[in-house]
Amino acid sequence: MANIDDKPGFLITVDFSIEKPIYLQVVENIISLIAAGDLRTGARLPSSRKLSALLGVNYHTINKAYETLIRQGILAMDRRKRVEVRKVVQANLERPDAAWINRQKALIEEAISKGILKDTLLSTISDIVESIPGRDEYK
Amino acid sequence: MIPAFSAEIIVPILFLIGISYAVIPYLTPPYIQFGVRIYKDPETLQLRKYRMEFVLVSIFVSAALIFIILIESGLSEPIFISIAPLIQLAGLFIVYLAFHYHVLAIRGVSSYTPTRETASAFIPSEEGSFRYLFLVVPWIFMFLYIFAGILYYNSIPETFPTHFGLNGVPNEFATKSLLSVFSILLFAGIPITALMEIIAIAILHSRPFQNPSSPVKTALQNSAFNRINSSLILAISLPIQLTIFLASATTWGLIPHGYVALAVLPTLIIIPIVLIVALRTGQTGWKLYPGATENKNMATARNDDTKWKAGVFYVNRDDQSLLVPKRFGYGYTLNFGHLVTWMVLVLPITVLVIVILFTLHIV
Repeated sequence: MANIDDKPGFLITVDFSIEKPIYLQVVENIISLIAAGDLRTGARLPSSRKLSALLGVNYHTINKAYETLIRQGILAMDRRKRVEVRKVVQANLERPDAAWINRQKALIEEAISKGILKDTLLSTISDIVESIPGRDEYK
Repeated sequence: MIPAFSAEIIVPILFLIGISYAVIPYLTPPYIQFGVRIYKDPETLQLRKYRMEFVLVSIFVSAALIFIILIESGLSEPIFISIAPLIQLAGLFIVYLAFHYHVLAIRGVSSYTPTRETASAFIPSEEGSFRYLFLVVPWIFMFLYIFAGILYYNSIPETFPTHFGLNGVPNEFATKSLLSVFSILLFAGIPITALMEIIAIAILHSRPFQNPSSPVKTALQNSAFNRINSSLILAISLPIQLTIFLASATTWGLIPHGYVALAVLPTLIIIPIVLIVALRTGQTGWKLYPGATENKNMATARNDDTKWKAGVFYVNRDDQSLLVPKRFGYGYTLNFGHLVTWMVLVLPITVLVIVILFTLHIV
């Protein structure tokens, strides 16, 4: 057997030295993986018991991360309590939810208060959107 | 006449145990030796030398015990013969402890500062699947054995032996009834089959294991190791069932009474089979996928030495897993920090004590 670097799968990494809570790091990891197309619709995530054992963190930490993502409508739990990437809801394609808009507003306000010009701001956002491969459904 | 339980039977068993124990340092991965996690280059610690020394010392202990049994005829008493494997294992464990604490001392504690800054987990998107259909196989055999009893039922005498002395001569008898004829299959065969199936399924849910310096490779090894061992447990349940059936068949008169000791023979192939599988896969499957290379380097391993008492007893209250891969040996061990482990251990003992109290008419 040769190189197995391209073996399909995904890597979840948490950093204990930064202040951001571990559960939030896991949440952000999973969101990045979905946005990058590494985790597709219906892809199953490891059980919280398994992932917590691999990362060496508490079982409840992973549960909290999964609960957060389920609440946000990004993950879903099937009848056998297995967590998977949720199908995109048609309504979401047209307009992001209010909570998301509020978070963006805070970030944009921060940029404007720092004196960043409108054109620079828009082109930066556009560059970020272009740099992320995106879910299959959007292509 | 075949001797039931004597030196001729026990010596091969002690021999197999001795060989199996001696090769353990060669089964465990290079980064866990004598129950100690090795962070340094294994070569600098002269672990190769210790592995060889362990083989020699442990073989010597086993050989000495076998020698004593063979020359000292007074020791071939059934009582001593039946506890000889326990004496052997106790002696070998003492040898292990000496090596464990020595390696722990030379590895040092201060040399390793766990840089527990980041941790990563690799989740393979496609994992080899376990064929759950395998779980049916032992039950098919169990059914066949019961069916054989049904077919032979009319030929079983009204009074038949249920217990044989160590010399192979029957010393207890029962009156023929559905319950008495099938008692061994019902009260030993079915519970053991069920237990083996539970273990096989539990292994598939045992604690995952990844080495940070090669996460993809160890993830593959780990899942293959679990699938192989799960199948292995189901495979070794077959000779155990056969032994139980042969014991039943002896009470039914299908097998002449003098050959009752032959019933043990199928189970004797278990140790060599497990040993061959163990040598090919290595503990936690570290010998699998030998040519595989990868460049994903991740965070360092966590220092979990403190969770392993004497390098063999795993006590971790924060771990939800019931089964974890052994550090010294092949296969899995229980997490003694888990409530279910204690229930699993205490329940059979309680049942046993109650049964004994009832049969002795104490209660």
